Amino acid sequence: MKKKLKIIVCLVLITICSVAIIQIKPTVDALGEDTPSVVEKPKRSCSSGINKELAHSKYNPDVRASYHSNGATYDIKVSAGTFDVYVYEIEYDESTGETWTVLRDKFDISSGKTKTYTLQRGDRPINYDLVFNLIKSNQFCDVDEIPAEPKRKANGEWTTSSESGLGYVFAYQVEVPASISDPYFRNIHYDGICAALRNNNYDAYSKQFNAVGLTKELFEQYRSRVLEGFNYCNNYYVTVSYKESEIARIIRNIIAGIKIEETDINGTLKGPDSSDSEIVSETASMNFSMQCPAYNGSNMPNQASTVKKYYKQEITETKYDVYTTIPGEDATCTKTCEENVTVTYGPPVASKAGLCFEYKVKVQSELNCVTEFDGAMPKPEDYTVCTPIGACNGLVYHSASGPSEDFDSCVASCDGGKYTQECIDTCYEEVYTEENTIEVLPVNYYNKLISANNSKVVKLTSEEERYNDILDAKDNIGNGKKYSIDDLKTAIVEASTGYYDVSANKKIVWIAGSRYWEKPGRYYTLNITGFTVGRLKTASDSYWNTVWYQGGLSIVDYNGFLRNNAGGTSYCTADCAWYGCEKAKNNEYYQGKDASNREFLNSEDAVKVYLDEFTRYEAAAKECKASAACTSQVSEFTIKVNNKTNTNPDVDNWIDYATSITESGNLTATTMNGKNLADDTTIILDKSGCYSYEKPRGNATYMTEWSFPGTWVNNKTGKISYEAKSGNAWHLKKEKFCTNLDSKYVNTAWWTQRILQPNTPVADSDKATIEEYNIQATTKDFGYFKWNFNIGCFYALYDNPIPNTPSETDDENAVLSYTTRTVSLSDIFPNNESEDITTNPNETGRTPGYNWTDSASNLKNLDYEVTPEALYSTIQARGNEIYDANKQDTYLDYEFYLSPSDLNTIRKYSKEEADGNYNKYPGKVNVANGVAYYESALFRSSSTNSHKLKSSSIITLGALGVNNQKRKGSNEAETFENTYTAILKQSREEYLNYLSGGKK
Amino acid sequence: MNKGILTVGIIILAIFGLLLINVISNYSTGSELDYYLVKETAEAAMEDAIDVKYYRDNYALRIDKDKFVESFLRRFAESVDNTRYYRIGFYDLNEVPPKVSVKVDSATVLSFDSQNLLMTTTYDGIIESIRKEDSYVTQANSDNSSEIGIPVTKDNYGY
Repeated sequence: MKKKLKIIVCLVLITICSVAIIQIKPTVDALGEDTPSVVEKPKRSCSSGINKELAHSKYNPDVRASYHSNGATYDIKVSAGTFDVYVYEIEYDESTGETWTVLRDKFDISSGKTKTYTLQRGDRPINYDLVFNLIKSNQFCDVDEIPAEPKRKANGEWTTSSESGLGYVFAYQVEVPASISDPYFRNIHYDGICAALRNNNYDAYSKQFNAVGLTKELFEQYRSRVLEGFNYCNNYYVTVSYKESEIARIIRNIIAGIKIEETDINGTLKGPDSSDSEIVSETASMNFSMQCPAYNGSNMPNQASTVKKYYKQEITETKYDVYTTIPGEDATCTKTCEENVTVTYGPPVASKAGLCFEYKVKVQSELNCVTEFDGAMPKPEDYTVCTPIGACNGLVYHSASGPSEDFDSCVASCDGGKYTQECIDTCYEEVYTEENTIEVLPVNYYNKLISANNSKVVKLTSEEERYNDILDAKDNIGNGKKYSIDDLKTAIVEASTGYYDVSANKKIVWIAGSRYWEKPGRYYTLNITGFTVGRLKTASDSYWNTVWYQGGLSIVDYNGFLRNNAGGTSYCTADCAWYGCEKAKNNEYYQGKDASNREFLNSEDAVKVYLDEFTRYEAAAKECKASAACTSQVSEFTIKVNNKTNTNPDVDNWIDYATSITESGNLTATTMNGKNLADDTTIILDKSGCYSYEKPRGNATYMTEWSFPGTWVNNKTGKISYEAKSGNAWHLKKEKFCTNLDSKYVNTAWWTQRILQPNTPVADSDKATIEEYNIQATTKDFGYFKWNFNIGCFYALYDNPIPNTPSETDDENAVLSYTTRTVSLSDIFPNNESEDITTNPNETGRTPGYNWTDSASNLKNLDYEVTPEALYSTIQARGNEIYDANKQDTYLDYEFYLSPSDLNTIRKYSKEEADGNYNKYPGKVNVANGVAYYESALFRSSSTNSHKLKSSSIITLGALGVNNQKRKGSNEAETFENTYTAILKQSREEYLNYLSGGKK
Repeated sequence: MNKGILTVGIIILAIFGLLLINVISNYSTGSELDYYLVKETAEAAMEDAIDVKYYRDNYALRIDKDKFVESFLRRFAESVDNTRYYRIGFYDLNEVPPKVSVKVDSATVLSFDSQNLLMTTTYDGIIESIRKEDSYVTQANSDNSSEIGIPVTKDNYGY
């Protein structure tokens, strides 16, 4: 029994001891809260130390940065545990080398969740350490207490502490690039073409200006305004690199832009000219037909021109794709145009066979357009260059408490690293005895380059070394001259063939140039000195020192980054990228209608796009505004007459003329019945506005007046031709249509009313029916809205009735209605038509023909007076006295003595010179006293050929161009006057005086 | 008188007779014939001389003096033989309205003084409109703004 009791007591004691032992053993295998361990390991206090490499692989902290205009945003996550994340800004004083930290923020993060955190951009690059401090137990150890805020050691390592020792901490170093500002370099054209612009010295660069079509006149006129809008030439330091030719082009463009703006035709719409205007809707047909009225408002035969007015308004929109940096059409020309058109056409014409008349049509329009072009004018300063900033990020420091390497090596030797409880216990005893202190082991597992050996960081001893490199580069360019740093930077920018580009995955990449100084990104080059806008920090340089390219101590990677050598073939492996310039990177050149704020990665891109877009803008703006002024179409004009003859009274005989006015204001050849007139005559009498060679500025006008080109009349025979005739044998009766002598009567009823009762109103019931509208004028595509007008009118042809006369269609005499009469000089018209009246030798007997009456008097040409009645009164008074030799042959005009040989000469002349045709006159036609006359070749020719009468046979010759020779041998005309002609002459003189006075 | 002398005498007498007949024949061309020749010639020449282009410009009949004279001479020369001398005079010609006076003097070729012509024919003629009135032309003539009767210039004729 006692033995049994002893056994029981022993078992109890053993149990108690075991429990006690278990309670004081450290736990190595920390069980995670969420993740069950496959291999159950003993958990222990975190303060007792953890395996840092293992822990880090399990916690797997991850920080992914993205950069934007406001700063940088980080996606932060861990695979296990819960951490406090401290955000420390690292301040550094370059002058003293002192570094200190400022806690900016703190947040926690646990596994399974991603924390998005943003750091704002400042006016300088800001470096932060994101310090992760483990605050909750996990599979490795139990957190004994909330650890204290991490501390940064002088060497940049981070640690945390608690009463029981150090916890687990790691730091992630990030850089927020400075605000993006453009790096400056010297304007190498400042003293060149820019000086020419500033100092108004066109001649110095006339070659360059001429090459872009910029004249000296324009240059000098607009130079000062160019300077206002082109600061590049005012600044010694610039951010964009232009070539000389590009500057010339830019100056030219700015001037062109000013001129475009100056020609702005914005205005106000005027509306219809008159309340009588016919309003034409936008969709209406543009064909209008009208006829000249036969009678006016007072019912009298119309003798006045008719005026018709039309009005149309239309709004059109034209889209332009001006900006290549914006997809699709991005500029609109909105044009509201109104056109007032006035059509004026003549009244009907009353004529006689063989006579000539004119018929004019005039169409004029005034175009008023309000144009709005919403395309913004590209300006060079809107095409800015953004140089990406290089930034590198990486996990740079780890500091942790936990299992030491001795513990790990102990376990490895005990169970091959299986961490069996037995080995844990054994090793714990061995390692963590009271004589072994817990030690922080600052180990960087990820970037050995930063393993605290700063001597390996590559730095230049001074900037001069770098300058020397560049000087060499400059020499290599071929200049052979030492330059200042500014010059060198500029020279490199100018000569660089390297450029930034955007890769398919929207990353900015540097495409290295062909020369070695172009291998690093442009950002390096532009930040040499003086204008530092940011510094490129490599992962190997934790002190924000500028890292310069230097021979074999660093290499340039594929993306233009300098990577420092850490010894041997090891180079910095930090994650470096070009940041900023988001607009350029994302092609967000242009938002909305704001033409400004476009970014390009390279000067070449900026200027190329600017020049291209300005060219497109200029073309669009000019087209918009030009089209508001004058249209560019061909307008057609025709006029035709149907001159039927008695020979073919039922056959139309249209004489049809046509021509066109081209866009440039030129006239096409006028055709007659489809055949070129082969002459410079035209149916266009007048044209102006858009139909002239000099196009109007501002609002456009159109005007064309047209009529017949004229009729060619034979000087000797009076024959007519509607086709052009050249030479002295014909003359042109301009703008007149001469009817055939054989013309058929037409519209006779109207003619009778118009001629015989011109001022008598015609009752509606008596109004003549117009048989034929035998004059037609048309225009097609006239003016801006392409009006088509068809004007119909008519000529009426008749004559006073001739009683008891035969048909007048037999011969020309009948048409001209005359007869030859043998008369007695003492009584020219002896037989009175009235039987009651006997012949009176002192008076006219029968009624004279019309041409021997006062009504036929014509005193418009005072050098060639026509006074029939006064004439025959004088003739009768003189009687046969004119033959009286005793009167010394006063009235003898011509006298010939003809011998038989002279008769032979005349016969020869008639046969050989005139082809035996009595209607052929070999002499010439001349003009004197306002009348054309014939000079006979038979007796006036100066030649002495056998066809001319010999002078001895020619006794007397009459005066030419004289209606009635005053006396023998005189060149003066004898005038005859009676009461009627005296009145007529006075009336004529008064009329001429009136005209003269009117001119004054 | 022997037979031979008689024969010679008869021949001489015959020749003289023929000569006499010829001379008488030259003088015996009747004035009737000369008048109608002159009349027809003058009337035809007047028609030849009508200035149609003047008509188109002035709506009036005009004869051109030189045309008339030339035409008269040509027609006259074609109508007479070469046995005479002629003096042709044109008197007091008027172009608008047309009026001519022609005087033709002629002499036989046997005349010893060609300047001393023995036969004279005169002709006086006019061209007269058939119409007694022409309202159309009257209006045109009285209308100062009308182009009818406006003097032509050399420019009109391209000189």
